Amino acid sequence: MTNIKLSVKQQEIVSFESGAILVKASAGSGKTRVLTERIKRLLNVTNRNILAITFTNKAGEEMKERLGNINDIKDRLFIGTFHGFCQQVLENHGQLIGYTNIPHIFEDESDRLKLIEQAIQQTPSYHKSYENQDPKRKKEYCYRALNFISEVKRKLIPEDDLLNESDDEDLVLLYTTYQDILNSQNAIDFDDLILLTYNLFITNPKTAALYRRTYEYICVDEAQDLNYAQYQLIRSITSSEHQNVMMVGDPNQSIFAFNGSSSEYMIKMFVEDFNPIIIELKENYRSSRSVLLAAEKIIPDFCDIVNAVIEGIFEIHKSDDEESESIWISDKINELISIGQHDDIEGDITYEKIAVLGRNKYVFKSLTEIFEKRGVPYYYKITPGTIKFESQLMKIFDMTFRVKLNPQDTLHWYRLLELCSNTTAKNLQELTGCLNDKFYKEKEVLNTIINLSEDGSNFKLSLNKLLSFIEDDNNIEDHNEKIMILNDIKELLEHWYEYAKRNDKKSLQQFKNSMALGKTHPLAQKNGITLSTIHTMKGQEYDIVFLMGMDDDTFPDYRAIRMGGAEMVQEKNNAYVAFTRSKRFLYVTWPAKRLMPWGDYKYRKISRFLLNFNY
Amino acid sequence: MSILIKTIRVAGLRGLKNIEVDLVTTTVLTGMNNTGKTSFLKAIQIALGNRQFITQDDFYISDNKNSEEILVDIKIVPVGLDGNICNDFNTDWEILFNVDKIKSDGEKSFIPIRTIISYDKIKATYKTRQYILPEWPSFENEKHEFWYQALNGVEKNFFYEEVPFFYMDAQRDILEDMKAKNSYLGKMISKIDYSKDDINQIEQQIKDLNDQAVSRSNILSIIKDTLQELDSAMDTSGGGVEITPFTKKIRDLNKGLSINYNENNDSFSMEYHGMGTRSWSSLLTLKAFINLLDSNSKTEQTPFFPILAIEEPESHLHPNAQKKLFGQIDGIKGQKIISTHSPYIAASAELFQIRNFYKNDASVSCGAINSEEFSSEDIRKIKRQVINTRGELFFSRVIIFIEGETEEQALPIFSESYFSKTPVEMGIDFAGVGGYGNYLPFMRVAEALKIPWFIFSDAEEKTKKSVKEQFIESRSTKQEAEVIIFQNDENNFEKQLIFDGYAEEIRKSILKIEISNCQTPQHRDAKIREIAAYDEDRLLQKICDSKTQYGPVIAEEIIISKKPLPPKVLDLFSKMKSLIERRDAVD
Repeated sequence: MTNIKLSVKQQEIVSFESGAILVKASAGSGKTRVLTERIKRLLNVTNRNILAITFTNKAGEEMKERLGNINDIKDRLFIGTFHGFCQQVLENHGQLIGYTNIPHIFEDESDRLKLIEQAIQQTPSYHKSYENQDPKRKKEYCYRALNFISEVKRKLIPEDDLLNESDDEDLVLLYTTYQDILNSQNAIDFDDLILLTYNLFITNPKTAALYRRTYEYICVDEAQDLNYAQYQLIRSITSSEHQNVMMVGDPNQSIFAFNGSSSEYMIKMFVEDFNPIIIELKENYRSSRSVLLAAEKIIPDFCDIVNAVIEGIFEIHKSDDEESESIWISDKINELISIGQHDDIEGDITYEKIAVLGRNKYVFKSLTEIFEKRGVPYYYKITPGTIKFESQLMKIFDMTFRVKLNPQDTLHWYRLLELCSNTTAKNLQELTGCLNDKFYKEKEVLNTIINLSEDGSNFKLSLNKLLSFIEDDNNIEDHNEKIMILNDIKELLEHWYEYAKRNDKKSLQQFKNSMALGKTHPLAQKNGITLSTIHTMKGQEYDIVFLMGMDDDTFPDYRAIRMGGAEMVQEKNNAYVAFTRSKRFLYVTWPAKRLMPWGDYKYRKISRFLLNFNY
Repeated sequence: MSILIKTIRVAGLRGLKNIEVDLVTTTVLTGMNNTGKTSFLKAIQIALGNRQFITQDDFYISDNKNSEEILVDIKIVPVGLDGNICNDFNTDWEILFNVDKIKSDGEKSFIPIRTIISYDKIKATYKTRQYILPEWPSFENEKHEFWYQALNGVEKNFFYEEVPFFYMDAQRDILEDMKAKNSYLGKMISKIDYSKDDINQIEQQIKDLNDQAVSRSNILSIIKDTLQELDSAMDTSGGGVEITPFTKKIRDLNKGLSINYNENNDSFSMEYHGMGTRSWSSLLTLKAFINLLDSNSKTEQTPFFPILAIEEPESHLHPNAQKKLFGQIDGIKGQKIISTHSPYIAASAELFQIRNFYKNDASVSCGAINSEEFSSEDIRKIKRQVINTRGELFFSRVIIFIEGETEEQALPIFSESYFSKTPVEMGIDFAGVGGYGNYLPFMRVAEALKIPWFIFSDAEEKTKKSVKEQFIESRSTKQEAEVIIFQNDENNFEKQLIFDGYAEEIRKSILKIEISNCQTPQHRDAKIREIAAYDEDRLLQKICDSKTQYGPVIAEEIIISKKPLPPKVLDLFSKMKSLIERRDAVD
């Protein structure tokens, strides 16, 4: 990256001594840089530790990369997400609240849905009303229940106090049933990580004090996304003597509203509780004038456009339909690539500098077809987290793997039995024994997992064997399915490599937990144009960005339009985030009509966010 | 503010099947040979030092099978300015150990470290793994599971320069240290550092010294002059031939260093000293090394707490030197664990610093004295007795407590006759407690150190009542009749001898002593007649008047008489014999 000298304001933040500080940083104001420079300085100021909280592993990794190899940095700096920090606290001191071993973390939404379904079915007053619903309503029912449970946990209400908090005994029963099912499988969910850590600190003030002393400085990146539980957790490891908290965030970029987050914690609560010095970073070092002018039309008056030196490009393009929209984008990319160089862009224009964004992942359908036809390299950016296996066989692998690591995991055990058409087996060995020839692939998968050593020493070898087994198998008729399985295994191996090279003492359990926390996601940039939804792109920028599908009902999403209010505010923020992903050129496109699944066209209007643009 | 290894647990190492030992700043390990003292020091080495010494023989054997793992758990706790254990590590230590190692029971902080040694069958090597335990498990829980069955926790190495471990084995020799670069002495010498000016100055002085030594010696001068001819023959323009009786360059200091020890104005090089001085010096160079590290850590303001395991520091040393040794070791910075067979060292230590290893039934256990349970008067009494027996109590296989002087003198002689070995060879100690009211603290000490004990007591009504009461108060789990031998009711030891029919042997003893005091033959004859006329009461009174004198003489007379030993004494010895046989059967 280009070496920009720190501005006076940036320098002020970096050299701020102790106490609380709030940095309101708008997009492109160099906040990550300020954060890393400050951490570097703090490492020299104190011989204690520094806690740097990020909201994604990706952001954490980026920060680590920027910090480079500073002596003993690994021991003295924790960079990671709230969940990563909580996992470490529970690993180290969980025994104080009765966890001698860290429980299994149920991170997958489909797992939680299964659990909540069981809980609903075991709660008499809900059981009947649930069973009478159609499948779609059932799902919505489950989501509402899960939301309720998450809300309770995010309010940090202890289970015992729930009855005092809520008059609705049925809700309480649902909650306790859900928790009992989790407990019976020696598992916790993501929200529990924070709740348990918070409880640990509250019930063990000595240990909280140890952490307070140990983490002398705390930095929270993207602080506009804090929720109540996370904010209280920060408070629990600070005190009137330990107030060295720095929060960095942009109130305009709050897009994670769905998990109870609110920029209020940063701009109101933090200010009231900690009385921090407030510094605003408005200068834009990142985006071109054209992009900034466009972004300002979405949310006005937040950045210093005068300071933007690079002119850049902003265009809105209307196409007849989705296909011509895709062809236009593809042509434009060709044109840019063939120019090779542009004054506004550092180095050659390559596919890697280009991203295409969409409100949801379905808008890319026709574009990927064109790319495939023309041989343009591209890849989907995936949300970090456990691999979502595409093939049925590897889904079985996933379940078996879970059951091996946690024999009390009855949830996946029964699903596994179901998929193997078996009802009697008591354990994995038994199940493997009674699989018939029809299940020869499943048998191979089960055997592979049973024979995995706990320390992962034969993981690579075993998975490669499985890979060749599938490759050599000529009985798989569906070619697509075979490719899918192979891709899944290769992907899993890539996660394993990422994990293995970072950890000296390996264990399958730790691998699984690392995967769940998204720590094993291969970071190495893949080649080609990046296709991504806006959520996944948060915190990352590209020189050239295409934002496609900017028609009303697509972006803003039709559901948000229907709901209005906060949802629409969020949607507007999303548009702002999407715009500011571009550093230099921004092309916004929309189709005048869309082909509906049932075969006819529907005419579209331009996104309401683009109405006051002159084009 | 400092730290301390509070507790060590060992399982599966050599003769140590499962043992827990609490430590203090300086701990002295006592006990007979082959009870596991050295193994215990090795266990500390496994936890904190080099593990390369491990072989198959180090794994505990039972039923002819080696144990599969050696486990050592250590618990490190914080220590406050007052030297007592406190709740939290101070800032320096807290920063060093960090949150991932410091555990808490909610109140007190500690670091629980587990070290496991196992054999890797494929690699054919011994594998060490270290863990930070999630908590400090109880030694044995209510489900009768032992500590080593508790969860290992997170794998993490525990190695800090700030907590160095030193092992001083019994074979140490300052001469070897001077040659070896990796000895503490060698390490220190290699770090000697002078300023440039100092080097120039000293080397100039050496040059002057060398010049003078050569010019003032006829022989050296001739050698030098003759060798100069080399120069002309070789046609070089070098600086000529130099003869340097003393080391020329200061960096070669370690090659020629010698240590001399002055005695009455004569100076002897270490080569001429015995192993005792050489071993002692070697130990003191370790002390110097630690002092050096300590002063470095003070300059750098880093925490420092060395752990020293010292095997038999007394080897080759004269008792007088042994007496000084404990104080010197105690004065070394850090935590010291000393194994010893020296009663002098054991006697120099405070009672609470003693850990006695005792092998009973199938396993080794360790006893310790909790000073809080004793009054200061009791401790004074015990200390006095410990010094009287020159500390041998701590190495006893069995202790017999007695009150009177006659039996204190007589019993060892009877014992040698009965066992055909001296009490010292047998590891038997007869300890006078100085009055029948004094048994209690001694019983408690023996119980605490897990050393088997007996009481051989007089039986006057008052005495018997008091001894029985003291036994109850000692809360011993033993059966009274098994460990306390009373004379017949109302008898003391002397009376019992008369009762048991040894009047003639007593008369002979009196005769022997009185006659040796007679100056003239007339006086002698009169004495013989007088003593021949003594009745039993008179005999008794005579020996009771000077008990110390008669004890050994009477015992010898009884043995010479070939009569069986007194029945009560036989009773005591047969009980001791069966105890010793039970123990030997284990070995």
